[in-house]
Amino acid sequence: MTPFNHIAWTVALLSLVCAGGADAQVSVTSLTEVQRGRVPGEDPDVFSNVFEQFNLNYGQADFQASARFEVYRASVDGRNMTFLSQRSVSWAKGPAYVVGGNFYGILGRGLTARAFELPGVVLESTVFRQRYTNTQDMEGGFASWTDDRFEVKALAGRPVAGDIPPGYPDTISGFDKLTGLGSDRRKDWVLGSEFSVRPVPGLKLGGTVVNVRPQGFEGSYAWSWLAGMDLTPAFEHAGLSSLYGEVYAELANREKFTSDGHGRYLSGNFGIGSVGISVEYKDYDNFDLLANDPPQLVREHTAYLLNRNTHVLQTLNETGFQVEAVFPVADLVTVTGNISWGKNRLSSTVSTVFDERFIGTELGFLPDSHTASVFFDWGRDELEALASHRTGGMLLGTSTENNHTLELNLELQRGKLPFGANPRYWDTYGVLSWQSPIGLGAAIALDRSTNPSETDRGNNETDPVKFLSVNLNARFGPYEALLFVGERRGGTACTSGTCYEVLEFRGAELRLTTRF
Amino acid sequence: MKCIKRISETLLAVMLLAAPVVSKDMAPDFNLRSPEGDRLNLKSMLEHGPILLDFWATWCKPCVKAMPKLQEIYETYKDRGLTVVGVNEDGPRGQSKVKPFLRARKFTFPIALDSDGSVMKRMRATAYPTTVLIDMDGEIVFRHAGFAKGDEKVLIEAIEAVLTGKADQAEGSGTE
Repeated sequence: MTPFNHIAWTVALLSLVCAGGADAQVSVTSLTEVQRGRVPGEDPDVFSNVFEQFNLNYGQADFQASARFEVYRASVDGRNMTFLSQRSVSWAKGPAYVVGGNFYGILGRGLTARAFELPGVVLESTVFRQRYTNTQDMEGGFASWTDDRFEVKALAGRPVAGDIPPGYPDTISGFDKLTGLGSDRRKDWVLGSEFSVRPVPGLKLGGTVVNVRPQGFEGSYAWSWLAGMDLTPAFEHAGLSSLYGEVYAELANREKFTSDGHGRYLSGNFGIGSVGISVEYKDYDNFDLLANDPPQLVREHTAYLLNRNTHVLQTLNETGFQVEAVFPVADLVTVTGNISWGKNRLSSTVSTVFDERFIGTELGFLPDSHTASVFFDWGRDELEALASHRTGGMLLGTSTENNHTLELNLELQRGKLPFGANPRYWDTYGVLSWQSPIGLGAAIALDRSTNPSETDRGNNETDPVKFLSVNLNARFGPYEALLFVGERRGGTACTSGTCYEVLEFRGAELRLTTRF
Repeated sequence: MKCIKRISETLLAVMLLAAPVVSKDMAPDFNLRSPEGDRLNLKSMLEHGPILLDFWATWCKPCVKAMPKLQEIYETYKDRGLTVVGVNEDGPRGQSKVKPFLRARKFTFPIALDSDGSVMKRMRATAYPTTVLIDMDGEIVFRHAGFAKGDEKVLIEAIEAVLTGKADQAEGSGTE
């Protein structure tokens, strides 16, 4: 019996078991990706693969049980994989929440611990060439109590080593591959807790502590003190009802490691009426705690060319700040300005700087059937070998009375690398898309680059490289299908501020999402 | 290609098997905090009427497009007992920007912070934005992922059906 048939029979069995339960429900979410094509520069020339993420959920009253199967099949030997990547049982009632198995959770603002996932993101390991879900969950137990005054959390679990695919190494047994018990992905342990109290409305005081136990290394401890205060009631009390504001600070230390470390995060936001500003400061040093995710203080871009250039936080050493202001000008435009700056001290003599300035506007004076936004962004990221860039773009949209929508997205980047005989390059990106009200859509995208890191792979190193693709989408009830045909540029991609590598791909890819 | 054919057949079988399994889609209870620190508990909110949850993030363009429509829905239906909650998925990285973002665009419906994404996972939402309508019995009667112009009409039909006690009607078109 194939693993797929196992899944089918599991669903069938559960349907029979649960049919009698008055309040019991079984639900299914499935994500399937089928690819046929090639990754330039990789063997074999042409390959096919299927990735399936199958989530089974069972709920009864306050209990929930869930399991996630991941299956990968490729036309290349040695890459196939079947894996029970998540399983959990949880109970939630009033202020209490307990989960055993795979869980997501956060202590403070993530300086000392955060387990999470990027929904819908499928990774392809550049080393192992297997596809799997990009999860940063933990496996163990998590409990929390959240009432109006107190918040208590406790966790103990094994974080995932995200660059190791499930089922690695090949030498482990079939049972261990399926369950993940013998896999190299989860070898370390993290234990932690948070206690915070709200003595008066708007004021939060507390702390977190974690014990990090990496396999084969000495364990270490980290703890943080945190305090947050909503200033708006104080402003209102003083008769300044148009003002608002809040401040937050979390100061963490790490001890008993090869050397001590620290993590410091301060933030605040303030505003008058609809004009607002947020200010953040970071100082991280030797602060990789296996399962932590401190705030990055980097703008999260949806513009394609800017998203590729997102700075990746280095928790081993990074200091910096971010300031973002939003101000509507009457009802004409909403302007967003952002300044981000960071410095990485790589050694006692070598350091790199990241800085970025962004300004974007959404035009609000257009009729409801039209939308328009423009942005301009410039900066550098020495750690990512980007000496400088200037990037601009616009998004124009229009819709008909019967809700057909047409959008044009254009972006242009002038960049400079810190090395090479001809370090300057142009990147251009354009998408024309149409979406119908009955759930059908189409888009054509062109990505063109003269970046030497892209062009040096061709026969003529000065020719620009082009990536042309057609995307079709269709939605019907619980089914959604996305078809990509063409060429996709590889490189960095970021979702929700978390970045990962995408391999270049030429061919066709079909993604199906189903939910029952 | 054999492999792909086998998987396609199996998936079809799974979908057919799964369809009759699903009965009521009950929303799991949760506790979240607003940016001001207030606790938002699902079951407590359900005592006041049905709830519309919208999972969104400041960096998500379709989410931002949908939010003016949610504001309209909030203003139209709040007096009829509907609670609209925007569940922010920015996480700790964007938490400081949420309030200025909302104030600048004059969005006034309640916001909850899902800092670790656990509520989004437990609600089985896999895309931004995802809109979930929960009736007073705690059953998810409407679910929609993504936003395109005109989607709000289907949502309003579902809300009207729930508020007038015709939840079953909402389970037709547009319901996942």
